[in-house]
Amino acid sequence: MNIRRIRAIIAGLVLVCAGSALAQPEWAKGVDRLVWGNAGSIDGDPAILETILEFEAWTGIDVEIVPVPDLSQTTEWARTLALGEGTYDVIDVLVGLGNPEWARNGWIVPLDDVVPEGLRQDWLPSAVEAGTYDGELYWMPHYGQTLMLGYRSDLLEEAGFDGPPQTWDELLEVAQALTIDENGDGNPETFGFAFPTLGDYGLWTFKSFLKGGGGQMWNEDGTPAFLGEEGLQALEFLDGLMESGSVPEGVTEYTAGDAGEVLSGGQAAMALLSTGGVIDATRQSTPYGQYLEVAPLPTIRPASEMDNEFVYNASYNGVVVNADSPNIEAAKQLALFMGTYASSWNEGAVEGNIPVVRSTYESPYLQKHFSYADAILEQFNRANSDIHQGYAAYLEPVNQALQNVLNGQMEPQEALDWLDDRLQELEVY
Amino acid sequence: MSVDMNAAREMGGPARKGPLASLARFVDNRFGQLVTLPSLLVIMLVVGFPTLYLIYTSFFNRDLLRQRFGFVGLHHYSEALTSSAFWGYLGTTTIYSASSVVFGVGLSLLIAIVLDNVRSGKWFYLPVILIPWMIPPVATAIMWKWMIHDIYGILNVVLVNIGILQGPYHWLGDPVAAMAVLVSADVWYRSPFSILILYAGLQRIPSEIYDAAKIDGAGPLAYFRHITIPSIRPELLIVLVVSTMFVFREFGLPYVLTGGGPGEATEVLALAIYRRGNLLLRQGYASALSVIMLLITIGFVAIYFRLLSREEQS
Repeated sequence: MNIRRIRAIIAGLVLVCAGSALAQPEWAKGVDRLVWGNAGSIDGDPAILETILEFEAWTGIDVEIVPVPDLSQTTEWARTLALGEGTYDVIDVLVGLGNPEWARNGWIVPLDDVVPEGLRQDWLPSAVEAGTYDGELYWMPHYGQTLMLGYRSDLLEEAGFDGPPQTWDELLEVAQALTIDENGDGNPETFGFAFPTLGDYGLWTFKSFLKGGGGQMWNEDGTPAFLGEEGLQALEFLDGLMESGSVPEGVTEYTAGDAGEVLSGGQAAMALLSTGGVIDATRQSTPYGQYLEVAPLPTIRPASEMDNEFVYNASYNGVVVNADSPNIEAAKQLALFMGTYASSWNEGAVEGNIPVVRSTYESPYLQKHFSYADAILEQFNRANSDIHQGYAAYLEPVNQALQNVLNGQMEPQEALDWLDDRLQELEVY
Repeated sequence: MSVDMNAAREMGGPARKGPLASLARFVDNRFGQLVTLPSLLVIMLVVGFPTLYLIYTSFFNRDLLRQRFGFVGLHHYSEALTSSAFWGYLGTTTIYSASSVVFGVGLSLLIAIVLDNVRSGKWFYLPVILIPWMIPPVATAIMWKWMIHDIYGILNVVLVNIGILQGPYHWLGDPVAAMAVLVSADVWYRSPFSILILYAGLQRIPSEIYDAAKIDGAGPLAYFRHITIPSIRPELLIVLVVSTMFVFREFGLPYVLTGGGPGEATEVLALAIYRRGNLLLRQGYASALSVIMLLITIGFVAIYFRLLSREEQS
């Protein structure tokens, strides 16, 4: 390398550094470091690293990512926030995990003052609703999740179906028709339908069928609405699916990833998949990947004929700012950066980082590389996240009630009665 | 170097006096305590303090999410002891522990005896037997989960192919089967420790005793009953009590393998404590449950020492 080239490189670096310094925003001055508390590994969320690198380049602030294992994150966040530690400036968390307790306890700060005009209107309404407490926005949403119907178009076509099922009756009919026992030994090689029930997914599956049947999770006064008629209807439908023999018995142990695996592995013709899982199932699977399609979830009647505003369920990850952060302004800006950059990141969407900024779905890049964009947006537009206190408290009992029904341990009504007792014991309402 | 003055006197040696002799006496009497003091301090710090803090916390409300704090005395203990859920978890833990210990120790004894009688290849069998112990419990649980998977699991494939099952069985969907799977995985994981201890005990039995019994016309069952078991009683005792203590407190295996399900069929006490402390964030109540578990475990230790001292006396 000759001396002239070295001089040119040094001059370039100096210019870049000077440019960065000049462009450094006022709130970033004097802030050397921000700590980002992440829910689990960042491997499953490529947008975080990408966004943070961009933020660092723009502001010159070093952002340290601290992944907290899923197993201990609930405790870790509550502990550090309750004790008033400034360990984490921002925390990335499933919206609803601590809501509304964190906001009510004053552990996190409202972010409305940094949200620019127009951005709020461009976010998915249910994402804003999920992140709002007492009229103020506390969670800066950056990606969404919803359970969708993944299906094998080739099998549906072979069986003579025009398209994916849109109603529960059609879902049952197609699931039964596509449960294939080739050698007649009574053990299907392909099941018609699979869905996840483990961990958060059990609750999400239940909520999906509850809302798809016209129900909702919570009443205005905070008491559970899901213990009523629609809850019973959802459990009875899922129980009927199991009894029809078109669902593998092992679904009580399935995560969304497992449901995606049986779909892409050829053991199921349809499956409920998380929006991130849809992409994994379709991109990574061979030889069935090319036949996998995605559609909104079937509802009790065609969604277009349902009066309810929300007939699907959605969940969001959002960023909160610790009220005890020594650099609150910079932390708010980092949260905002995630809420604008990552939440509308086209390339990230293709990696499974589903945008919450609606206009992103119109981008030519997304339309070209992400064939399910329209179906996902259609579902998100009629989805809500209905947040309630004590997510961690009611998650497990709802899952247990669902599993008790699917395993044949309890009748649906019996499971709801048991659930009612358990929720009261745990003081969920 | 220490000087044993009593021994010196007994041997007719001179009994030394003066500062050096005092130092020697001090070193003789206190040396052991002196060198163990640092370790004791560390143990007190890392074990003693958290335990005391746990007991302290159990008398307080520490409901992080609902921000309820304050002294509640024995309320958490009375809440636990009057709750049917607690007794349910304790019952499940007892079934899990008892089954695992009975089957685990039985199987370990059998394998240890077989190993003791193997003439060649011990260099191969011993490390192979230790493999399950080398695998972390979480990895063990994941491996078992795959083996019993309803679609991909090798267990279903084998049982269906040899005609025992009509079709794939969802092992974790049935309360009894799920508990059986959990106990089997636990036995598989924990047996190497028991085998090792029992095998060491069997090595102590002089072959002359067996030879004498053989001359007296004793059969294998008589060997087992009158020679093997009495001879390895201390090892059996250690294995029984240590296994019980560890199984009783086990968290990783049930958490990953069954998650406490189906329903709450395999919800052991350790899982229940985790959920109350880490998910519901009721740390005072979870501490009280932990103290109860600690007391039960101390009970096992007390039984162990009592039996062991009785063994030594006899």
